[in-house]
Amino acid sequence: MFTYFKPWWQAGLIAVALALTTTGCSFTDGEPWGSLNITLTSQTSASDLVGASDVTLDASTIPLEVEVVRVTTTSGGGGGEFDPSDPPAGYTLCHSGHCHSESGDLVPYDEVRAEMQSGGGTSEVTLARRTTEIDISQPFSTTAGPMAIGSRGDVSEVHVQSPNVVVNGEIRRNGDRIPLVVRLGPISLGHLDLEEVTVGPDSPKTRSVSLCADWPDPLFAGVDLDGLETQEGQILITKIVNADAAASIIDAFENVNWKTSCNA
Amino acid sequence: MSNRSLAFGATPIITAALLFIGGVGCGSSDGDPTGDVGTEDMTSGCVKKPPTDPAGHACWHVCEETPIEGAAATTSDDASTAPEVSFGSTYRISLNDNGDDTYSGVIRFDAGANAIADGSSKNIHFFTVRDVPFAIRPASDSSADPTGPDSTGSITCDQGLSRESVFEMQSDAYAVDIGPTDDQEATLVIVPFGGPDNA
Repeated sequence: MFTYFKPWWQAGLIAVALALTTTGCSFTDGEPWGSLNITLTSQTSASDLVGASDVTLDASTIPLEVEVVRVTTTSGGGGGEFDPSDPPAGYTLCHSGHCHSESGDLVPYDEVRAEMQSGGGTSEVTLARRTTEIDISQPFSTTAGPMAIGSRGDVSEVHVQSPNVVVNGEIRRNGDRIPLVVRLGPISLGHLDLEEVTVGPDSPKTRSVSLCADWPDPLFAGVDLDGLETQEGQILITKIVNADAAASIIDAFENVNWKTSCNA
Repeated sequence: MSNRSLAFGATPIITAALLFIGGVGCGSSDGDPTGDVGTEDMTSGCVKKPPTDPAGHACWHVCEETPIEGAAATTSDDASTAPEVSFGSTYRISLNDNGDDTYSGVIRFDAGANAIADGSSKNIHFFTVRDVPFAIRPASDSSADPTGPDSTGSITCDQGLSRESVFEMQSDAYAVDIGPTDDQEATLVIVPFGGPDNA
């Protein structure tokens, strides 16, 4: 049928196509739906956090990975391999890394795949991740962000973890000051469930979320200080040396409670 | 086909392509999480990519994993019932009291099921925190004399591994005698020659 189009008709069609190409639809191609700034704060003093008067910590920088996660509840996808050319039930078209759902949302491939492979229940998808760092030897406040969110919808949880915890300090024992080295490797520092944080066309472009740490278990409260083994003039705590102490400190880190306000 | 019909024939294709590109542009960026990269402590074994040298690889396992706890069988037990260890994990093995302030035990390691092909042999590296005596014997022959390591040595690992014992093993199952030692437990990471778990 194009054979019968007049040249000006063809030019018009191309112009429309070019306009779509350069403008996208209602928003700019490649831009996130929004971004989050996650601020982590701890007002707990060093002595309260350590929880043992014979232990002091040096300034010890700990890297933190902060992730924002979407938890999706599904009724079950029935399994099977995800094939973008054959969208699963509930989706009409899959291309360029996302699927168009029947509700009009654009859902990333990994979310669709997770939904298909779940037997029902919940699935988690990490929306964005940022690294920051804290000094565990004193109260801290640090911000991870901006975290660009490329998929609209609810942001369900903030997860905090460290890829490698190394803390130095000293332990006083019988009048001696013994150097302390704690090497725990990667550990979790808990998570916070978010309420009413949504990213999309009707939401603010940039949002800030505050997390305040409450430490129910001081880091060294469960450590038998007198039982710590000394090697070559220092006390090393790892998963295999003074391992029970390491497990207790890891538990204390993992048990941190995050609240949305330090005044709550 | 004339040049004119060629041009007209290409028009719908170009238009369709442009429309498709325009349509693809309709939407947000993909949902891949973006973010900066974490830091690494290159001296502690806590690195993202597992090192390929045996000592570095063992140290990496200790950093990354929660040790698996288990209890060794007594030396008089049949090796076939001793708890089994394999590559790629860190073990904290509680030993049995010998009654003389020393401890010992037996575990089982199936080299054949752990990447040694039939008819070949390979150096298997045992890493521990302390200088724990190890000896091996075929799991199928409890009367065989235990054989000590082909070599021993020291390593540097900030996680606390310090000693290495190397055995040349065939594709067989072995009983591994641990001790006697003053410690009530032994930490053990087993790495094959070359480092990676399935090398």
